[in-house]
Amino acid sequence: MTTLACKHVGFTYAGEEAAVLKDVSFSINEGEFVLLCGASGMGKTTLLRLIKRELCPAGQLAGTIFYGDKPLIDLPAAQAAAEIGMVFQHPDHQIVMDGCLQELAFGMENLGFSNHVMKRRIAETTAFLGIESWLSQDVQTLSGGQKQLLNLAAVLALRPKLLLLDEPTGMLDPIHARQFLDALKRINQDTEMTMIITEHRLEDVYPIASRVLILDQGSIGFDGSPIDSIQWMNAAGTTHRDWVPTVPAYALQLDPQLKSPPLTVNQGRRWLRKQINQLKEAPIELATAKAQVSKPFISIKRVHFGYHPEKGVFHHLHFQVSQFECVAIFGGNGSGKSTLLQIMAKLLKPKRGYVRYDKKRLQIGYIPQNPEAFFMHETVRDQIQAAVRSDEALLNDLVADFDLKQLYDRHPHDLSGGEMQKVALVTVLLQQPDVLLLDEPTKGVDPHTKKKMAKWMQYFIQKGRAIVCATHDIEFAAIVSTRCVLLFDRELVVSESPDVFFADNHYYTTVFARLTQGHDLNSAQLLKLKEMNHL
Amino acid sequence: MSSGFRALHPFVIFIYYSGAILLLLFMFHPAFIVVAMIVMCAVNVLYDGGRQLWRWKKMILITSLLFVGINIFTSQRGSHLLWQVGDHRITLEATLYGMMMAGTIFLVLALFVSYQQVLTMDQFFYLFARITPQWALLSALAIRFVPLMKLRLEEIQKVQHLQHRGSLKSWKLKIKEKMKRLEVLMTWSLEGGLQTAESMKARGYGTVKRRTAYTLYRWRISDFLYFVFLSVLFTLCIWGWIHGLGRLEIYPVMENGALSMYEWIVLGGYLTYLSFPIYVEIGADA
Repeated sequence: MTTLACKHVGFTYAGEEAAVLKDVSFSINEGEFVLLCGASGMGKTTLLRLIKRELCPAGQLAGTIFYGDKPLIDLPAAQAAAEIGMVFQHPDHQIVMDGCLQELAFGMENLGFSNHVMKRRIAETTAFLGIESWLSQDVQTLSGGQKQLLNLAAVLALRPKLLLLDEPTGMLDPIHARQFLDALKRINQDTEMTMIITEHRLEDVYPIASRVLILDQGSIGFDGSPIDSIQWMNAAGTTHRDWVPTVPAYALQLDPQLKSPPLTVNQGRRWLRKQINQLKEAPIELATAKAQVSKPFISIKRVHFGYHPEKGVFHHLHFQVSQFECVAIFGGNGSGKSTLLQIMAKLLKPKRGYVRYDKKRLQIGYIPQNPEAFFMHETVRDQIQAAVRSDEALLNDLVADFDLKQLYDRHPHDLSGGEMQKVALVTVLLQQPDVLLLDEPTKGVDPHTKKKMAKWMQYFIQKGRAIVCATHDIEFAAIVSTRCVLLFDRELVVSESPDVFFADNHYYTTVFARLTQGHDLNSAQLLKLKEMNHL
Repeated sequence: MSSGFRALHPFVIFIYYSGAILLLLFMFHPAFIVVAMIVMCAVNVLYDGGRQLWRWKKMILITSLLFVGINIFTSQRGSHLLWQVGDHRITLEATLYGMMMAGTIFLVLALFVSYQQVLTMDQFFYLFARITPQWALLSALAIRFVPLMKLRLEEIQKVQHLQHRGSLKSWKLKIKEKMKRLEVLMTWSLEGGLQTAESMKARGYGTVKRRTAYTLYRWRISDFLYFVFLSVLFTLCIWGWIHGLGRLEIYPVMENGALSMYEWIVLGGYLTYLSFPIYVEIGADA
């Protein structure tokens, strides 16, 4: 049975000339898990909002959207609100009430459900998602991942038939994002609920999606199975090729003619085992990285810090950052990654110990966890141009490379999470500080942009500067970092070069390491495989 | 906490706060203000050890000094001369008036802080969503705004402090920068508020005429008695206020601050009204 069908849908925002969507036609059957892809600004969010009737933006709509066999417009209001659910990107902004239980009940109260029905549905939904334990908590005490699960539960309690998800994990760290996507998978499999999701984390969505739609130039560029979509992306040019998830990307690099590339690590390892013989002939050219020794920019010695005296965040912490270094800080939520960055920036004062800079006027650039706090100007153009110190050429390069012209007239707060990160990074790069402190720089960033970010960050440290970034994004850190540190139990437990760090870890490691661990490959072969995914 | 003051019917809680804010604004007498300050501090300590209120300390101090200072320097009225600086007369009246204003501002703030801890969003919607859904939505967003805005302002200050470390020399630039920060705070918060409103709309807010409530608040006999009790006390205070009790005339001629017998009675009623959460809470524990 068809759940949703779009017939020649086009849309132009009020006050704008160019249409965002030109001619979009597709139909989705009950129980399908549809991944909607496309570069930023291609109209993914617009399409979802047209389907979620209450949030339809102002503008000129062409064509018809059918829900079931009726046009969407003819659907009664209460039915439209309940049966088409939507989860947005920002976990905080969606929450209305101050208690979890109240938040779950909010939608049902709006639709006039009886008390008895509400109780049952809440009990059922929370048990299914395994979130009963924090139901009585205040919303503000939850982590971002928990908040997003709560938002999902609140929508699910209305028993939607069609669930729309607009970059739901854009603000979450990889571990919580995985957890969230796993929940979606289970719902889809257990209830046959139809889902349409837009996502950057293709690695994790690909194995669960049953169908992929790619928006390209205002219409559907590709419509088919995930495996076929990889072929399409691979053939469709660089912008799309960067979206191919890591495992199939490696496979396609080795064998571009591959018909059905592996999707998961498990499949990838099996595939690689067959390929080992081919790799054996790889030429041996070992490049040795030159170690740069210099005086540390920032040194932290014997630092103690804690928000509450009884449970400290740090205990006797040592840390240094030198020229030419890009340090990635890993650690679970609440292990103090952000705190460490703020201590380095001297925004927080340690209880004991000291933070020392190598010169008095060390310039520090800092992008906080919420990039909103970073923007001080009305438009992206002003924001970027105010940051230029002297280097106009750098400005032009950055703007061209990150394709910022199209965002120039937007207000920074109107951008999506990934776009905000992009603009914030460009701004600090233009300011040319000595040390750059980044807090989760790749949150919500699409793979294509991520690659560019990595390139510019490497360029930045080659100029004799340093970067410290707190991140959960292992793949990204493996490319940019020169050193990885792990915060655990109030201490800095490991500080190693990324190669050693990832080779030693089993779970907390890159897809590449998981693919190759335990295989009989020498270091030259490893290097060859690895370089393929480099820039 | 599901016993004591918070367990009462939301209507009673709301009546208490509405009455309290009126009384705090009406009763303009040093003795009343001092009594109220003690009670309001106690109410705040009761709920979270006064932690939330303590966060506002800087704000309270600055506004208090500002009120007293401005009053002293702009008003020369009054016959009790404290000091003479050149041509300028600093009078007891102006000083007292400024202090009372500052006290009232503090009281209103303290009341709001405790209100936020006691009346949940859920209860607020229970009370108002049926009567005026649009208005309830707007106020709910506004109430949520305040604590979020404080957190965000701190974050903006941190980041911007780093951006301009020591580079803003003149005070004119500094003020301009501060204004800019507030502007950013406003856009950020409004943007968030807009998304919250969308999330409400997406979940059918306002589509069905009769909104139901998940939590059932039973109107018990005790709630009725409390309501009558609060009404009587409130009427007593307002009666006193109409007859000039609990108000200290300062201008043009300052009255004697001593309390009359009737005034003591009104003060008693005032004290009993304001400390309502305290004895309900203690009564529930015992």
